[in-house]
Amino acid sequence: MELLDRYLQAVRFWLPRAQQADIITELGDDLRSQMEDKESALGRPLNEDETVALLQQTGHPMRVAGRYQPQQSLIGPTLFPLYRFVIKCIAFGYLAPWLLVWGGLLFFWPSYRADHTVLGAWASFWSLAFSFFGMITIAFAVMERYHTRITWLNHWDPRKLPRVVERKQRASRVSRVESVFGLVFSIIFAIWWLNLPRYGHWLLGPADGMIAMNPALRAYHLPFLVPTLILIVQQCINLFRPQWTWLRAIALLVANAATLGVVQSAINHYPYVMLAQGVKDAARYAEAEFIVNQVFLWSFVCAVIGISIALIVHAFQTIRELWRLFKRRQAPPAVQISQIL
Amino acid sequence: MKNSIQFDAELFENLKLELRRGCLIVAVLAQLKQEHYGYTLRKSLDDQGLAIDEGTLYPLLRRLETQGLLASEWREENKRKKRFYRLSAQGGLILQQLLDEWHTINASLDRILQEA
Repeated sequence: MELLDRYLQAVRFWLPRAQQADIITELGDDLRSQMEDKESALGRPLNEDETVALLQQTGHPMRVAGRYQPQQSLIGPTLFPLYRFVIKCIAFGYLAPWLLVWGGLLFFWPSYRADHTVLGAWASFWSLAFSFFGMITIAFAVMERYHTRITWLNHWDPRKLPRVVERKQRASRVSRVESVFGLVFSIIFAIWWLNLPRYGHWLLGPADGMIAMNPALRAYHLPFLVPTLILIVQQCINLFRPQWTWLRAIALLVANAATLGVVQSAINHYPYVMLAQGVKDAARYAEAEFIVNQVFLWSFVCAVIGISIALIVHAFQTIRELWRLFKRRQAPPAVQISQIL
Repeated sequence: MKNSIQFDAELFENLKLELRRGCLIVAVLAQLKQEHYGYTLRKSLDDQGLAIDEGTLYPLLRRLETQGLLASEWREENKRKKRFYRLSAQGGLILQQLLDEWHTINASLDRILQEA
């Protein structure tokens, strides 16, 4: 019986405390009854191997105890799709860009490389990733535990589900809504940008009058507007010719390439702001000058990385659109029903 | 390339488990019209061709009791404490409804299999 007692003790360990005594008494009685039946059939006590075989057949203590647990999964099948969606959003919307920016800084910025070790940044990435993973998992486990109180899954209306979007239709036309909104924002941006030399000093806030833009950057004022003008032309055309999806792809590619060229050229004119001539208490404002320059610098770096990624994506899209256009030109002309009848 | 259909034992076991799960509940409820303790219940089910291991039966009995379908009491028999189970009044009603459902499913399945 020693093996049986050891087995029951092991099962007890994994059971909820409140139910331990009941379950162990009941399970113990069952196993003892089985042993007694076998002993009656054999006409002798069971040997160690036979007892071991019987207990093995019953199952591992942890597995046997696990069957008495009310909930076996941290996040059940109802919430799991939402959990996976949130994890994906965090992974692709935050962690992947984080990794790309970090990689960009590491490869293109020697001073960053000098100040940060690869191992340290890599460790902080994983620490961040696991923290997010842990927090989201805990949040969903809590929701799972109390999901009977969450009523939004029970009260829903099919009429509020998103409309069906025809994939083919979406791919073969530039939405007019997109063109209109794009056009409005492009024009607003162009007006704002053209007025920047007159009112831009407001952006400096309390440092206005103390620090001034590097005169070398004035040469970039109008070139910065070129990508926007390209997009305005594209949006005007696509408003009337929405089927010209290739035009949007090419315009975005060219606009991105132009922006990248201008930003890369402008980035070399450090410092971007400097102390205004004749400013009093220059030492006090030197720190503000440094901070503003750093903000500009990091903004430029992030812009270069972001635009480079967009450039690659738009290059692929342009190739795809041009390929589609080529295939359409090659295909025989469609025969209209009116021509047949 | 040879296109052969292989028997997937694990898949079959999982499907069999799913198929048996509902049936076991009905069988246990039906068998507990008469009072039993765990081991004798297992034996009586086994004698009628429905083997069920202790790791499945006891948690099932607890669940059914929590749901109010079974009633139980501890008594001593042969110098050992045993927990005796029997069908509750609510369990009796549910069992009848489950049996009706079972007959409906069985009849449908028969028709489907005859057509197939």
